[in-house]
This record gives sequence, structure tokens and C-alpha cells, in this order.
Amino acid sequence: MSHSIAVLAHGFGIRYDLPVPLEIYLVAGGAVVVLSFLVVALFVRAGGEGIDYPRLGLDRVPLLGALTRSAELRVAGAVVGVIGLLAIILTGWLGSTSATFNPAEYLLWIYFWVGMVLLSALVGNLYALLNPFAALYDLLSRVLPIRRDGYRAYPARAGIWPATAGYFVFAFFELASGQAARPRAVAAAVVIYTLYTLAMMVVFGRETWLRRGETFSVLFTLIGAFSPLGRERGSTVTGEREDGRDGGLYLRPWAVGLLRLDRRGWDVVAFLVLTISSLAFDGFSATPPWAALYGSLGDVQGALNGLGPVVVKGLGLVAFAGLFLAVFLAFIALVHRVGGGSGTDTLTAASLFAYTLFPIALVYNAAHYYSYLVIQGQGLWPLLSDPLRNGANLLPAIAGYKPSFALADAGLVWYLQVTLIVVGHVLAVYLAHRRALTIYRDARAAVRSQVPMLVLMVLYTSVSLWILAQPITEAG
Amino acid sequence: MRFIAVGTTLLAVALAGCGSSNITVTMSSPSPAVASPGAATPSASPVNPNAVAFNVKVTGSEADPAELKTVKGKEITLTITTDKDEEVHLHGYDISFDCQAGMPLTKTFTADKTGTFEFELEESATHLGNLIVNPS
Repeated sequence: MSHSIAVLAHGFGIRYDLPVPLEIYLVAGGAVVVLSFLVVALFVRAGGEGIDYPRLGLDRVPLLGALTRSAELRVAGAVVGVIGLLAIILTGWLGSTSATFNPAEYLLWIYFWVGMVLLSALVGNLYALLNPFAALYDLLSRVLPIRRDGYRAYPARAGIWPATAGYFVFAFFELASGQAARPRAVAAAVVIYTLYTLAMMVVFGRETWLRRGETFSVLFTLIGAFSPLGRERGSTVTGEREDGRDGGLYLRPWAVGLLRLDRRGWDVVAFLVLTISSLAFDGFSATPPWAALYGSLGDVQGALNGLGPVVVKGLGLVAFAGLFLAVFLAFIALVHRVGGGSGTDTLTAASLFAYTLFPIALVYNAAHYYSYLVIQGQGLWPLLSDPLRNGANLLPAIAGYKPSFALADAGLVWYLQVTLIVVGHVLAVYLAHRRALTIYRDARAAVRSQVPMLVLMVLYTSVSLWILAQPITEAG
Repeated sequence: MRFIAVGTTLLAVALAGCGSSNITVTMSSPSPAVASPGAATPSASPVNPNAVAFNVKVTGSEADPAELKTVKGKEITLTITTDKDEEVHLHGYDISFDCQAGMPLTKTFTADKTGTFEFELEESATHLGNLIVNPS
């Protein structure tokens, strides 16, 4: 049993990727270095400026403006979100106990965790529209007299720590627990998270918990900030202003929205580093070095009985987070010293620069999961005809559907992967330079401060490329 | 993992009905007595330069060879011999070998998808090895 689950490296399912060939890997590595210096060279001349970027207001676009403000869109989004949540719980609990034949696994690990993240990054924060927890709360508050701003004051010291902790628990469930490919466990976890989230929204207030405590709202706020769809300041996570009115929507280039985020603290740094380190661990745990390490720990695992794999993978997850954090902070200390450290402390610099790493996490996510999304994702379609696996034939037309591999030809996947990694790297270098120009007074010092930052980003990007060039192996 | 095996069998049955796949699976005789012409050169048919043959022996949970490398477009002839009655499943190409102990079972198909494709013992979901199809 433990064996079969270990095969399923992340969430569930199988990856069919081929390792990126050496020559593409080397060309991409070279491009990373050359483009990094190009970005730097452009900024040496640019001089200090704010966080302005081109915007295209959407409110005056006839249909679009009305649509984005319409209550109908909100209701439709809430309905879709709640249906999705209920579908995961019901099929997970009542359907096949085999992950391959249970829609809950596809909905959570592929359509939500990969698909919705990528779509939100490309288009705009979809989660704000679909958030099923917010929708359920709103439904609940119509029936029960719940105070919208809660019953307890949210402790300021807690920051976004609950969301950060939630992210770690989610990554542990996905990558280390061995339960991610068990539909009953998925259903149970989703029920527990739903009840927990609703309770916290009641206690601390709807907006407060969505902004600080709810892991996915916090994550999708970051993703939404990367996306080209922005809202004027004053709007909140759910797209509503404090006074209940919408902020105006506008279009902007990708990634630059991250420069608007300026919340600082260890909670922010930890959250952002976790997004990168847990993805890196997911990739690393399918490479030969991990398989070797994992195999060499056989005795240790034997001593832990059935919990061996969980403990080893859990420690791997923690070790990756610790390592990535330590490396990040060491480089930030260097950045801060070279930059002159005028007017800001190291923690502020660490927080503000941490946001600029987010594109690296997003592109790695896309590169790593692309073929998983386009191939394994198709596995849901025939299941729609018989979601509970009780012999129903609701949609005979798709009951016998076989996945097409047309979109996952190795040549296409390789070039897509390395292109994504290089683009993400360039975006991160660009954002970090703009950050440096706002943090450090002296433009020259700002540019100088970016030399260690550049080394750090080349390091992160090399790790991403290296993982993509490894053959996929199975550990345990 | 019995339910996975049952589920896969159900899916295989369901998929058998649609039959619109571009993979051609032909079964040779499972009898070793008939299927052993030795290493003699084929007499009538010309040697197909596009053909690749693999002969995999499965002992317990080990396959030899465990890594089968080829390039896209090849005509693959895959022969699997197991030491027990086992179903071996090749993922992605979704081909099942219902092996009987000691009896080589051969199937041919075109390597029309690139990627890393696992083959496993279906019943126990034991990973045996990978078919690796590189772009041509």
C-alpha cells in the first residue's frame, strides 16, 4: 500500500515528462545569465522611480465594466465555487476509493491546485470570485444573526501566520502525508478545512480572516497581484472595498502588480519562501538523488514502522523550507549591506524582496505541472459520466474518452518549460531592481545591491532547470 | 490495491468499447512452443528498419531490463515474461499484458507518444520500470 502511494509523487497521478536534454538546459542557463545582465544594464540608466506602470481602465469599457460590477457575476461565481467544493466532498467520500477513478482527486489536485493557479496568474484572481468559503459564510449569515466583523479582535501580532501555517499543512498533506491519493482522506480534509475556515470567519470577522488567515485567499492575492487584472487601491481580497463598493478594474502588464504589495514581517517572508521551497521539494522528490537518499534511509524508516515515509518526506519538506529561507536571508543581508541599508531594516528589505521571487515560484509551477495538467487533467472527463463509480452512464458521449497526448509532445514541453523558467527569472530580476530603487535612496547603491540578488535568482533558476533535466524516478 | 486493479479492469472494459485508438495492439501466440523460432533471420518478410523489440523478464518485483529506450514513431514489439500469473500494465499507452507464469506474451504497438511511461504489476501496483520514448 505504501508503495503504490509513493509512486504518486505529488497529489496523485503520473507524470509522463522526459528530462530536458543537456543542450536545451545549457542554452537556457546561458540565456538566464545573459538576460539578467541585460535587465541590469537597462536599469543602470533608468534611475530611481516609483511603482508606476501602464494601466488600462476597464470600467468604461461598455459591457465589461457593467459585468464586473454585476451582482449576477458574484452569485454565479459563488454557485460554481460551492458546487466545486461539494463535488470534491461528495465524490471523494462516496465515489471510488481509487484515486484514478475519483473526480475529487482531479478537481482538487489538477483543476484547483494547478489549473486555477495558472489561469489566475494569466488572467486574474479567480479565487476571489469563486471562493466557496466566503459564499457559504454569506449564506450562513442570511440564516443566522452573525456579526460580519466577528466577536473577537484579531491579534495584530498574528499577521498572516495562520495562512502560512495553513500553507505548510497543505503542502505536507499533498507531498508527505501519503494521504493525498486517498479520496476519503481528501474529502475529510476538505470538510475539516471548510468547518475551520467558517468558524474562524465567524470569530474574527469575514474580511479579517480572508485577508490574514485563509491560506488560499492569501495565496491567490499574490497570484492576483501577478496577474494582469488589477483593482484600484482600497479594495480587499474579495474584491470589495471596506465601504462595500468595488474598486475600479484595470489591465496592467504581468508581474508588476506584485510591486504594490508591501506588507512586511516574518510571516510574509515565510509564506513566500514556502511557496518556492515546497514546489522545489515536489520536483526534487522525483529525482535520482532523492531516490538514493530515500533508499539509504531504509533502516531509519524500518524503525518507524508505517510512519517512515511520512516522517522522511515531512523532514524533507521542512529541510527544504529551512534551506531556502537560510539562503534567502543570507543573500538579503548582503543585498542590504551593499545597498547602504538607509532608512529600512533587514526584515523590511527581506519582506519587500520576497515578493519579487514569486514569479519564479509561479513559472516553476507551470513548467513542472504543464503536461500533468494537459494529460492527466483529461482523466476527469470520462469520470463525469459515472462520478460515483456506481455504473451510471450520465454522459455516454464521453464515457469512453481516452486522453490525447497531442499537447504534451516532448519537444513542445521542453521548450515551453525552459522558456517559462527564463521568463520568470527575467521578471523576478526586473521586479527586484524596481524594488531596490524604491528601498534604497541612492540609485547607484540600489543597482549595486542587485548583484547579490542576481546571484540568488540565478541560483534559484538553476535549481528549477536542474530538476527539469532530471529523469523522473520513483522513491520508495 | 485490489480496487485499483478492479477499477482498471472496468475502465479497460469500458474503453474496449470505443476502440478509436491509434495504437494497434496485436497479440502473438502466448505459447512458448510456437513463439520460439530462435534467432534465425526472418525468411520471407524483409527486416523492418523501424521495428524495435524488447524482451522483459519479470522476477518478483524486478524487471530486466527495467528501462526501455526508444524514439517516437518506432514499431515496438514488447515481450513480457513473468514468473507468476500477473497483469502487467503499461501506463499512457494503456496496454495490459495478462501474463501466465513462464509464458512470454508479445504485443506490438507504435510509439506515437513521447514521454516516460511506467509499467507496473497491476494487482499490487508495483513499479517495474519505464518505457522512455524520446522525440525522433
